[in-house]
Amino acid sequence: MSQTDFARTDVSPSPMVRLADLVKQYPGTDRAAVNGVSLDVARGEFFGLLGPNGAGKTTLLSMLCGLRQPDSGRIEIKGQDFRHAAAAAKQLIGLVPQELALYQNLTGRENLAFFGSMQGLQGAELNRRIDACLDIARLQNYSDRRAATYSGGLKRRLNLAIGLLHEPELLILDEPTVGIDPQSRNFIFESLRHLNDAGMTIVYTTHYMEEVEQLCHRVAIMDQGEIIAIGALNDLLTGRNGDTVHMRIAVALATDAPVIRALAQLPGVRAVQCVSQQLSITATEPLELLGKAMEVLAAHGIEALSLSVGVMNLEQVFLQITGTSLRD
Amino acid sequence: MSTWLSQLLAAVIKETKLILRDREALAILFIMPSIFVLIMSLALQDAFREQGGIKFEIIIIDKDKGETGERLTEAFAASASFVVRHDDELNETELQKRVTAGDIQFAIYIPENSTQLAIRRAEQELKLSTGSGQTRVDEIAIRMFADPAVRGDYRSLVASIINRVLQGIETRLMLQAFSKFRDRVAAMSSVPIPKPPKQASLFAEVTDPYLGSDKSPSTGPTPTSVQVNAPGWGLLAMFFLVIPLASTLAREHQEGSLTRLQVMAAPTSMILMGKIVPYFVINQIQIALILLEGVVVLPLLGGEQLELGPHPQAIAVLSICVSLAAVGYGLLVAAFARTPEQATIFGATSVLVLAALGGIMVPKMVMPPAMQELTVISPLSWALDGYVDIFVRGADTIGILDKAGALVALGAICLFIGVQRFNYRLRHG
Repeated sequence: MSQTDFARTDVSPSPMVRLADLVKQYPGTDRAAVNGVSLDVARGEFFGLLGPNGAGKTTLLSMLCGLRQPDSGRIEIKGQDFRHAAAAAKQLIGLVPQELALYQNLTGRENLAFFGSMQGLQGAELNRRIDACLDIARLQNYSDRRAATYSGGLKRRLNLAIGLLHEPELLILDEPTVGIDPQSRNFIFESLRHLNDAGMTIVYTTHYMEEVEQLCHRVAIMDQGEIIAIGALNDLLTGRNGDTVHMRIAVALATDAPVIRALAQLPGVRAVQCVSQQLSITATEPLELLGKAMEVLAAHGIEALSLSVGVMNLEQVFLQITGTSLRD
Repeated sequence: MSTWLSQLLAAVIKETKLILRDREALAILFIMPSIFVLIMSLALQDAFREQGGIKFEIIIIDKDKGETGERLTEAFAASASFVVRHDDELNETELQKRVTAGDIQFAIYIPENSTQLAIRRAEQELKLSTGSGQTRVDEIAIRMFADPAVRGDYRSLVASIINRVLQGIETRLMLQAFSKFRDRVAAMSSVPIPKPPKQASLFAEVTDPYLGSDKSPSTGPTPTSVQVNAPGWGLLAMFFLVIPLASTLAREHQEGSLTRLQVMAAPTSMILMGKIVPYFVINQIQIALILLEGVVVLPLLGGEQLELGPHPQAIAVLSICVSLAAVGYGLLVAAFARTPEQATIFGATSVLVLAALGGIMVPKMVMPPAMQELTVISPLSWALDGYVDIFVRGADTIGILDKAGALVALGAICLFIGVQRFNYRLRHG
């Protein structure tokens, strides 16, 4: 099933976001940063955009937010063509950028007041929204302290709160948990789930598989400017041919080691990966493969210390599709 | 309140808070220039009194084309303190205008037929001394023009050199006339040979045009140390706003605040106005404090008091124009700087170079002529000249319109290019 098929059949007929054949190539480059991307994001959906650095995620988000013009293709927000209704579309969008886009020498409340004013809020309405956002981000106790004195987690929460000021219908988050502690990350996840439960559409980009697995209803995997897989998370994880044999072995192996090549040539093997001493073999029938794999290892003088068999995770899906690790 | 006004107010309040909470920026904008004004005004007080080793340009307009011009040229050319130029095209009115504007430091105007008239007057003086003459030719007036901003003792020196040369010419012409007369009388044996005449005055005495007159509206026509240093270092501080302005804008770009504002559909003009307004106000406070320091604080420390001249409104007009140029330049640097470090380094270096070229660090009057010519490329020089015109030459608003206009034009050009570049960067990253 092609990615377009997924996009057209799995979502509501009136999507919050519709991207059609988007192309963007930067001057002086020989490859399009975004190459013919089409997808829909339904209203109220929690949508994950996954891909390694340089996959084109940020360029795609920039076009979605109206920061860059696509070379060709079409962007619709709630059925409105972005080119013809940019201001109205932007009113629907809240952006939480990867950078801490706030003023370190302003307090949390002052940051919210400034950004709120720039969105056209004023007076009692502005104050009401500031209090609500402080509440969502649980920053009430820190609101009169300068952002520079915040921990990394508090800054991320303020970054999120600013994106929520004007009650956007579509919240776009670009790697919102970079560099924070697990507690703050969990808090942000919890807040996002609440917002999504309340009806907010969320587009979440990350290169952390586990975040997408925890949060998103649907996922698009991007690589080299193209959507290489899209669909509900379960479909992506179970729709692949094969499960994985995980082995802990006595030595670490290079990607092009003879034993890796020998394992890859076994019948039914889809992918072989070795990270540190963890060898993963994805195959259609892993249990049948097991004996032959042990023979190959023994023939190369490699001892298996432990082994397990399980379903693929997103990391392995990515590996199977692209042949490279997500974090390469 | 309209949304536009509310947004502008929020942007101005935000920027003002950021500036007030940035101690380094405050030190650069306020403390540094105050200290410089105090130190440099006191340190250079004597230097402004003793202008040793300076070369002045003197223009001789010789309509006479006779001995008077030749002798005056020789006399000034022989002095290491003067560079002599001739420009016979200038008329007296133009000359007066250019000297008063400070374009020319000294000029000598020799009217047509001066030498011939002096010869006739010598002959008449001789006849008078023998009781045979009736009518007199008036004393010949050689005119001296001097920039009021040049120290008075230098003006007197030039006047005395002219008078000495003219006296030499007088003596020679009188002896020449006497020789002719004696030869004629000797041919007539019945007439007794006359005695040589006493020295007669052929030329009117040349004096410093500002001495004993009310021509200079300032209390003293010579700029004092503080009259140059206070506006000079104040200007440096005003242009130094480029550092916080450009670095905060670069930081906002780098850290994503500008991206966020773009997604919020905040107008670019609002973002920039939010910066321009506070820095403009800061500029006005800076120059007001610096001038106040010159008027009030410096005398308490034993320095000269800053004399502001009779047209304070001209100071206000010029200061506003300087701010427009400074803010425009700051925005231009901000639009091109990609990082706060680039903004700080380029901003500081460029302003220091402009200040050095503009006569802020080294007074223009002690620069060699070639360097003085170069100062014209620095807007700080235009501004400093404007303040000196107001303080020393008593210029009013009309009198500094050329400098003020140039500053506004520069500010407008910088703003235009800066806004174009800023928009381009927002669109293309």
